[in-house]
Amino acid sequence: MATTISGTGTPTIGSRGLPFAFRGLLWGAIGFLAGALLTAGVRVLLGYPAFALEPVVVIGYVFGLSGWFLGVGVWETWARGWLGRETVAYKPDGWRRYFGFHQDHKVIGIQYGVTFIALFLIAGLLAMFMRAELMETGRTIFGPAGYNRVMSLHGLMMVLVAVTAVPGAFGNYVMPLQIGAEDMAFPRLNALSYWFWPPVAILLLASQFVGGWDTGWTGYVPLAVVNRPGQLFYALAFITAGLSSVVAAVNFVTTVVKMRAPGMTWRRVPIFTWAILFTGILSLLFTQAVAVALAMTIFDRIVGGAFFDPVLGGLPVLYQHIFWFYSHPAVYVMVLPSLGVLLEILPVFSRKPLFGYKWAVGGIIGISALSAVVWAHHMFTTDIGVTTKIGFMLTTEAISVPTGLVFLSAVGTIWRGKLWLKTPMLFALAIVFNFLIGGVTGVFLSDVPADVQLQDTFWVVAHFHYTIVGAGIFGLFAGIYYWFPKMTGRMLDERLGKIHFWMMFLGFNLTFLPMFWLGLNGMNRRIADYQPSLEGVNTFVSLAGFFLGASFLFFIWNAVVSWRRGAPAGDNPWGARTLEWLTTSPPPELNFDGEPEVTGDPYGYGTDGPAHAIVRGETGGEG
Amino acid sequence: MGGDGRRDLVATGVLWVILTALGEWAVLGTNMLPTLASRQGEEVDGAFRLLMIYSVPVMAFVLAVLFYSVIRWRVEGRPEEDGPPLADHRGFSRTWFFVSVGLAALLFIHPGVTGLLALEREMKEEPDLVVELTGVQWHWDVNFPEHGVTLENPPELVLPVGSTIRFDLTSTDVIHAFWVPAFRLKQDAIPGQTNSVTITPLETGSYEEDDAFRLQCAELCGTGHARMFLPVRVVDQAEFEEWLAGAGMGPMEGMEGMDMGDRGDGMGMGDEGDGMKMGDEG
Amino acid sequence: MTAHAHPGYRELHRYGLWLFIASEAFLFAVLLAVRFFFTGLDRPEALNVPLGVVLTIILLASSYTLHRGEKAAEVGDQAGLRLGLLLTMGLGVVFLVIVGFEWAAGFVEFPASTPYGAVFYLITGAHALHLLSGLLVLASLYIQAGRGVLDEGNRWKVEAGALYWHFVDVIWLSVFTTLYLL
Ligand code: HEA
Ligand code: HEA
Ligand code: CUA
Ligand SMILES: [Cu+2]
Repeated sequence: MATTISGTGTPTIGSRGLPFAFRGLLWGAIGFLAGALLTAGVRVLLGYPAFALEPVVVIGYVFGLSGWFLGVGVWETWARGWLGRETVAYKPDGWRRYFGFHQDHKVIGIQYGVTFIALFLIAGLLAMFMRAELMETGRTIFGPAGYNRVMSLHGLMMVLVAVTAVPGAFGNYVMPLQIGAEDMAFPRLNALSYWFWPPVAILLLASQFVGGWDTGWTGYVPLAVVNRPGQLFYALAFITAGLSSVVAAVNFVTTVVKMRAPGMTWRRVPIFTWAILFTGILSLLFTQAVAVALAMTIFDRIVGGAFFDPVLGGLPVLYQHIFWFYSHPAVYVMVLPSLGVLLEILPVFSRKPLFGYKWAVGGIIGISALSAVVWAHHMFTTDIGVTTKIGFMLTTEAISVPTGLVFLSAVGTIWRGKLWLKTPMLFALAIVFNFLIGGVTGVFLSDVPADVQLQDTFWVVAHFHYTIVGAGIFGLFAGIYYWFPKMTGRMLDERLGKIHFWMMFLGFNLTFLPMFWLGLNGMNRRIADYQPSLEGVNTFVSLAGFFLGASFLFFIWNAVVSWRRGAPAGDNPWGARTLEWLTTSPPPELNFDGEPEVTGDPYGYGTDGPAHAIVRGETGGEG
Repeated sequence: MGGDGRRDLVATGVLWVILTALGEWAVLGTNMLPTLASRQGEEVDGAFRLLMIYSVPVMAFVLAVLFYSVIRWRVEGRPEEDGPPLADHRGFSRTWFFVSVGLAALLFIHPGVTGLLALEREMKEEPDLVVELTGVQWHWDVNFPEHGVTLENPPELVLPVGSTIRFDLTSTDVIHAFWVPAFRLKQDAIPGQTNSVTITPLETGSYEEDDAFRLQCAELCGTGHARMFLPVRVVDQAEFEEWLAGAGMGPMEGMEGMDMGDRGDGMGMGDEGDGMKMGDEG
Repeated sequence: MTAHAHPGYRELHRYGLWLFIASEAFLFAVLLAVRFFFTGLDRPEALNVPLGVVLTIILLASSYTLHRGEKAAEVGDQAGLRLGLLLTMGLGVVFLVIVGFEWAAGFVEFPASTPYGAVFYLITGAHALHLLSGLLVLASLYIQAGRGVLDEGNRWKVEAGALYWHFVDVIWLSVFTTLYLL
């Protein structure tokens, strides 16, 4: 089965036959059946009826997940080592690389990027259906049950996209290049973190065959305990995604801390890498909480536990504390990487140093620290007591200070620059605009007297689309337009890029700005139908939403065509100084044809200081 | 190019003032809020308006720099040379930092803490009337303990204007939430506990005239969540008592067709739910 | 030689493992916090505290046997290492079996449908799962030691497995304190 790369003698696998991803599906299915049968058997032994959907699914899933991993290549590349045997490398050429347990961070970055763009488009399409339903009052396409399901799926998928797309794609692809490393610290863990995602997608899909779930992305109890079985799939999918985050986070943090090239002191670390480091720390610590909340839900569902059933002495509000203890830091996981992209792009296209580098880094650290202690601002209406409210109002409002430092850095950087308005720069500038609105409207929500009116209305919906989409997703696209040349060796078409940008920017603002008004005027969230007085604005919002959706057609077209036929990019099309631009596009197997050494400031535009880095010698990757 | 850039500073400053003035004019000159019909809601609206007023200059500042820079310093084509090496400006950065700390502190104290404490005081006020509301998937049950009147899934909720009413909220199944947009305050109805909210309606009004007069469930509670609302009518004391006396008699006509779909099956996308239309009941 | 300078695998893995342990510590911190949230400082009379003490002693003993194994590995004594691993695994299995009996008894006294029961099974279950994964790691080390592949270059594997096991023991101490003593 193993063939050999000519000349090197390392045995490799995966170059022919069925792509490993399919074998993973097969082994996963076998594992699932084995687990299911085992569960049924144990149940019979214990004197229960053999079949019960939820226990069988949970245990079956654990086995299925193991089978899936072994099948996609963990077995040959890793698990054999656990038995003291030789492992082999998975290194096929061409498209096959992307369909198995490949360990190169550049391959994984592209896997993440493509997967999450796809998920984003699917979840966006769901939003289009939601807007169609909300176009007019009364039933338009699915009615309340269908709407809640689609809304919940949209919410969870998008949240997963938002927490993963930028760190997954660029954290993997770009960060090791930026710090001059040959790869991530743990390439196998890196591949592992990616291959968690297909099971998540399968679970979300499968949930729709057992009725889906309708609690939104937050899964509040007791609803989530008494709901139909789709809720279980929601919980498993979320936990699996969380595992992936933890695994990825260990890797990111270790890589940034331990793998920096000689000379890269903390003061010379590019801002995007800083953002990834703190994203990693947040995911590493807080993701565990959501796993606990969901495990408690599963526990209650399967063994009739007392956690959330008030009749048995349970505490429904406890779920919210645990959930938000993770999910508030998670919103900064969504936005920090994109703010990193923003601050990475601004100096390059303003031809100026990053303004207030220290303040910006301090901002990122401050946001991360404070994000741990603000969670109850999602719970101001649950009767948590005056002192608690005051405390959380204080911490939440305090977080605008470090966030403001990112704005300080942004406006300082463009001031008196030479602004080169290429597509990545347009997206970056749009982030400043959008996130300003998103952030300031968040401050309204943090104010308890205002929040009691705004909570659970479209004001909140508008707020978080302005932050997650307006900063998070705009950051994703800024990053794509910026780094696509590095990743593919080809430029994206500038004209299509500009069309995409202007349609997306206008469409976005026209869609979500009116939602603030809707929220103020009595439109609550998560409803398939609303008061007739709100119809006009809703129709407008829906039409704007369709316009926004259409903008992505230009992007898809642009990406597909340019990947194959775009103008060659060269090593450094934007004239940037950070290390990823000091190697070929795309970079060679071990990233640099020599040894990178960091000698100066990453953003020393206009100064006559030393270059940020040099790549020494031509040792060649494999020597 | 104005050497030290003083002209740019002045121009940006002017732009900031203009944007702020425009913004404040818009904020002070328009009322974006729905009808207000409760005394406690004044606290809410006051906080909201104040936040609007505060946020205008903050946003205007960032936008002024953004717009001015883009217009003033954009270059056609690839820039030939780099901009000035302005890596930081101590005075500016520090000022920014301390101003934002000050702003955040200000917002926290007022309208934050002051508003919250004022609301809390209102919540503790001795009520003239107690109304027990129980959220049930997917309707509200109403109980007037002092009058011994219990209404299961009534077609409307009638309240007396001018009296202070304490709503005791709970639920029999999942979490619901009490929200009358015209009254502003929102409070969750959580199974296993009773939360209270005290409201003094100051204006009469009814759902038929203004949909801000409705008791809307504001916490996702399953399929019927969207339609879990109860028209509210605020009337004078006499009319209220009359209504209450009538309501105590015989069964009220329930809202048929409120229970949409059955949460058990749910295969397929467009399965359950009748062709419902808001506002055609009651 | 690669073209890049970075710390050796041993250092990287040690650092990564500590991060993972930090993350896991958060998991148990949240779990243990849940217990106080639920039942304050109350616990059922029926809780078998002496058995808990026995469990604690077993785990402490297992940390000791593993430590002996690790010391043996340091001087290249593969047989000593295997013996240490085997004893540790044996103690681990005994621990799990006792927990199984304790659960069976507990189901009657404080079922999962009581607040304390729910907390108890969730936390001890989470711990048992971690112990089980620890057992798999030790088993893997045992097999590798048998094949003689745990040489100087792979010594970090033993170190890592042992560190994880000790961590699971420490977690038990906090679980024991919170569930049985407070
Ligand atoms: C990327 C995601 C993201 C980000 C970055 C934020 C940022 C913030 N969010 Fe938001 N939020 C969400 C995503 C996000 N949020 C989501 C998804 C929800 C809903 C969840 C659900 O229920 O489904 C939510 C809900 C939510 C609530 C609960 C609403 C409710 O349900 O009642 C609150 C309440 O406090 C809040 C507050 C804030 C604040 C204060 C910030 C701050 O970080 C903003 C800070 C930024 C600024 C303030 C602007 C720039 C600063 C300056 C220019 C300096 C000067 C300014 C001042 C001193 C004011 N958010
Ligand atoms: C990353 C996060 C993210 C993103 C990008 C979006 C994007 C959008 N969202 Fe979403 N949204 C959430 C996160 C996000 N949302 C969350 C977390 C919730 C809360 C859920 C809950 O309450 O639990 C929510 C809820 C939510 C609601 C409120 C539902 C309710 O409370 O009743 C609405 C309503 O209008 C909405 C609309 C939209 C729209 C119009 C877009 C648009 O931006 C979408 C743009 C369109 C596309 C991207 C489609 C492009 C598709 C094509 C061009 C076709 C090609 C397709 C394929 C080939 C497959 N969203
Ligand atoms: Cu009841 Cu929503
Ligand atoms: Cu939050």
